[in-house]
Amino acid sequence: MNRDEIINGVLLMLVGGLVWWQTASFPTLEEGYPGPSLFPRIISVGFILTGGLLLFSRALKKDQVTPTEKQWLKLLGGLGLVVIYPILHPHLGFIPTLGIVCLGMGFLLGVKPWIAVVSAFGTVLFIFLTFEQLLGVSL
Amino acid sequence: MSILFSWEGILALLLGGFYGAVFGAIPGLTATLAVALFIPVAFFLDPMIALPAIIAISSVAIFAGDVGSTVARIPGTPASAAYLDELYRTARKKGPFYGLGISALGSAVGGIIGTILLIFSATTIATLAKQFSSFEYFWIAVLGLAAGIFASGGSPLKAFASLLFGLLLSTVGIDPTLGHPRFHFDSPDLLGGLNYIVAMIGLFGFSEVLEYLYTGTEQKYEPPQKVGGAMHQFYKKPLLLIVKEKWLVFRSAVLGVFVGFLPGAGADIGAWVATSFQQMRKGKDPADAAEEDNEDDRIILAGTSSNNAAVASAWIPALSLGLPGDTVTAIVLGVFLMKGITPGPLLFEQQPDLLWSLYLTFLIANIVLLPFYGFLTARMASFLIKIPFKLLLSFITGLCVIGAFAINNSVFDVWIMAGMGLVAFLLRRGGFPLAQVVLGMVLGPIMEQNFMVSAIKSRWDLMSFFERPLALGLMVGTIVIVVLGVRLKSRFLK
Repeated sequence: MNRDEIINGVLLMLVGGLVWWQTASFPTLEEGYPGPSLFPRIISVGFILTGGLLLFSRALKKDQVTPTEKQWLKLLGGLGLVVIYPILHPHLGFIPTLGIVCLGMGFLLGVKPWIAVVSAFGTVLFIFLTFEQLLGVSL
Repeated sequence: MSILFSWEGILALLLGGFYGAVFGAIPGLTATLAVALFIPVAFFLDPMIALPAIIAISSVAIFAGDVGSTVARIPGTPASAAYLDELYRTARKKGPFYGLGISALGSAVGGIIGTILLIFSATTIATLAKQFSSFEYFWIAVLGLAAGIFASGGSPLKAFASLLFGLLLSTVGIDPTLGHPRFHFDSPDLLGGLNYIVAMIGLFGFSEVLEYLYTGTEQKYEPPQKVGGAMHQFYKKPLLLIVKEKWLVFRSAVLGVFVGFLPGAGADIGAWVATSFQQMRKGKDPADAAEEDNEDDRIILAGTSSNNAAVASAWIPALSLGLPGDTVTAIVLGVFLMKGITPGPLLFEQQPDLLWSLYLTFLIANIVLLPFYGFLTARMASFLIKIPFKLLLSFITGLCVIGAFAINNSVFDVWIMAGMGLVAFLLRRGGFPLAQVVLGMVLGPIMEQNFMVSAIKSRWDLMSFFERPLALGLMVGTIVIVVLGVRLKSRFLK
């Protein structure tokens, strides 16, 4: 049994169910015709059917390799670095915050420290000059 | 018209083209944003200079959206997302000059065809566009979605799931019938809906970073074989391909014109429909790698020739009816009003000089500016592509963050971008295609709004969706696509 495909199918069906549940509070049009809930509900049924079909047609295929814990940690690290930007930006401003994000990403990717520093500096400088100075986009 | 050939006119075209190339090539900066930021400058310019400059900006920016696809797999425009994988593969296997050469010259030829149709049939086409009601728009969206399902190389079931996900994302925000807020989770930032440029940066750009962090490897391609110099790769080989595939280019450009002139549709949907038709043909003989590469070239050609044809044709409803064909022409209409020009049928009688200078600019932009700036951007891309991917990722991350932030100057969009990146990573892991998510986001609002308008207009008599000849024709087209798609896929799977 292909565990990943079973998870895919179940997740799709769950998303479909959640969407349907969310639309329960949406108002209807006059004379009871569906209004804002119509399209989300059609999509929700689509998710449930697709999930079911995926479960049915793919569950017997071969299994895939299980990821290691280190892979997940790196992934979460990358995600965390980007999430830092909206948190720190209001306090530190654009240049230091972006510098931290790019430097952290360099370290996470395993490049040499001096390359990470140069790369972060270059990225911040390029973005500052292009966006703010050349194109007048306020950062 | 002489003002166009004055030094101010030529400078406006050259600077406009350069400005468009920079905007198009940087993820997060779009042709629309470029034109919008140009408006304060346009205010002080003669309309005979301002309008041609806008044409130069938008024509080059739409092409330059392919630079991000070539270097980092980040499409600059939704139109570029339609043939993202093919362009990325071609640039890696055969070199960025060849990949961007097909893109630039395909765009140029498509743009020229679109301009010729604009010159000779603007009023006729505009009359046809007037026949399109909400019923036809609904079927156009359904047709685009149906083609999108079979356009993915993998499982149509997974492509359908991706499309559903895109459609679901398009329902976030105020609904088009009652103005009821949907899926906003009490966040005022979500009331306006999700910006698909922000979503695209997360889907294609940030997910690439997460994928690398997770796997620690990138997809390796054989280095491209050196056949001739950069000029040969960029100009000669793509031109030979265009001559060989002339009917494909012509067909895609006409399709681009047809979709582009529909008010509200524009280059993005034009490119998606043309690309999807070509992608559906792919995979007949997967064992033949060379043929698969050639098919990639044809798909890029179909997409690029249709999107620039649509850039020109989006001006048809703007000039003849005063209706915007896309967001750029919506801004152009604002410039018209700012300069005291009234678009409509009278424009053709009262301002022939202005019209001819616009037509001429489209031709200059496609014959001169696209090949010129295309070559320059390809040179830049060929430099960037040599940088080890690992080093480029830190730069891509910075660009993703700032690209998302810069659109609305909102940190909330960075959250959305990060979330979309994670979702895209999970979709990629599960084997779900990403391009179909963008297609769902672009076509979803058009489909829903026109369905609801039609249904309410006909007092929920659903048979009215099949009564108008044009709507019926589009419905038959959708069925043909589904039947052909299923047949081609089943033949491919044998």
